[in-house]
Amino acid sequence: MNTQSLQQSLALAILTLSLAGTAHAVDFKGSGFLTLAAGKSFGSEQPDGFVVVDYGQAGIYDANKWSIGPDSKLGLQGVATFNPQWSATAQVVSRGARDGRVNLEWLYATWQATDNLSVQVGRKRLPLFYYSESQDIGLSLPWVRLPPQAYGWDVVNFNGANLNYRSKLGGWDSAAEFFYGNEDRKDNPYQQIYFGRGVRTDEKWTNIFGADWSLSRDWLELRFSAVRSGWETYDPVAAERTDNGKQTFLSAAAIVDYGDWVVRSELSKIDRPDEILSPEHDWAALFGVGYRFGKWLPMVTYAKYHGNYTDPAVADERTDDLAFSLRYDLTSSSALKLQYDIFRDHSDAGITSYNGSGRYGNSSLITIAFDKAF
Amino acid sequence: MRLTDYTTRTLITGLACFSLSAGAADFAVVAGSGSGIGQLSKDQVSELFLGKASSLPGGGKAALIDQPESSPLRDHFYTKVTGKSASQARSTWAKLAFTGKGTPPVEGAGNDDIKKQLAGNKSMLGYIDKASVDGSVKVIYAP
Repeated sequence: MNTQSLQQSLALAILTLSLAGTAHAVDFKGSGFLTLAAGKSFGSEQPDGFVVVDYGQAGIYDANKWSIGPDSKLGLQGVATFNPQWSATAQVVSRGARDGRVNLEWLYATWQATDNLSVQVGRKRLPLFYYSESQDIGLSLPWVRLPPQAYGWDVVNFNGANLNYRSKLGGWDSAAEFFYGNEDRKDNPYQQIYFGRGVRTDEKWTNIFGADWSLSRDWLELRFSAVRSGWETYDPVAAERTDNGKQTFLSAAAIVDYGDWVVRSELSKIDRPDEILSPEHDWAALFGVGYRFGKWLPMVTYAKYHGNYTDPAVADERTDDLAFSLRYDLTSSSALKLQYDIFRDHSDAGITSYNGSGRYGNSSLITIAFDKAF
Repeated sequence: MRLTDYTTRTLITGLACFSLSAGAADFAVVAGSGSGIGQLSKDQVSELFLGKASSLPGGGKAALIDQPESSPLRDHFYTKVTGKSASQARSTWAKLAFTGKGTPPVEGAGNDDIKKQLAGNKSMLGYIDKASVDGSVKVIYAP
């Protein structure tokens, strides 16, 4: 708790000074991003009509009515630069999925050791997959949101340190990152999707070790990552904490911008030693193709998740999402998006989804969004 | 005959207007005249303005300055040098800036303001209308 309140006061100080633009020896810069989205689910097999669009933050459209909560967010960032080597950054995000509550997502010090080597210490996004760190930055995405099938995990932040090394390898730009940290999340939103809002659902990821490597050249970017950590959960039904053992996340992504063609693809493999249900070996994938017509970017994206449990008595979870999205660049720093999602649930009977009820069920979702960076 | 003449004239006028507008938007990548930044290639300028590189060839971190969002020169510069639109570049910078991977260009108010800011920062580079190039700046890349 002490670490948390200290982090909050530090972040507040950096943000206040940055947004006030006070400049003495230290250079403060404030900036931000905004997504305003309205969506409506329909044709759902579930009586509540719910669709989970953001597992990490429990963003859920429900009840077959228009709502602006699940995908809308406002982020503010302050950067205090002390000299060319040292800076401090704080970023808070208020999101509709959490009733507008403000969360400290990033708070870290950067040490630019050399032109190519930097070290960051503090609170950051956990770079499990290609888009993990930029998941809130709507303006940087072709879609309204990340495909939930490929990005549906319980922890999105961690406290720790990372080392980044940029270099040239042949004609390729290489960026390698190594990180270590821990995350202790009280009342985990992801777990609350299943156990119910307000229910105690603590979750701990311990000794998170990870590495990711990006290679880019002209129109192609490749990224590989591996993350391993301890995984402790709290089961509110049994009212006990469980140490599940070590979990592993692997990902490979290929990003193509060839002329006006856009391809986004990623394949992930997740191994979790779930003590309560059964060990699981999961796959997730996304593949999207789009073509830019000037300011317009229409895109078709397919994403799939397969939660595969070793114990045959435990029901497997298989869901997919076919998304038709259209982005229009309003100005160079704002965009309008329209997206139509078809979610399909091919899971075995007996899986647990929202609030402990049965299958997710098939459903569709229409969303319009406005993204801006400032 | 008259009709053909008219068509030819319209075509020529049209072409002239087109080349004139393209000519008016010609730019130069510049640094302050006192800056140590040397000549850069198109690829080097592109890498800096897309956040693929952050340091100058001679060492040291580059500071970047953009034309205002409303300026047609901004889109022209990005399209010509990086092959991306100003929107695509801004999206890339939003991703880098909000994930701790880069410092985006600051936004100048126009040619005169950019020249003033370049004079005050020796590691800064920007792009201005070619016609605005004067003794206060040195051209480090011209298309």
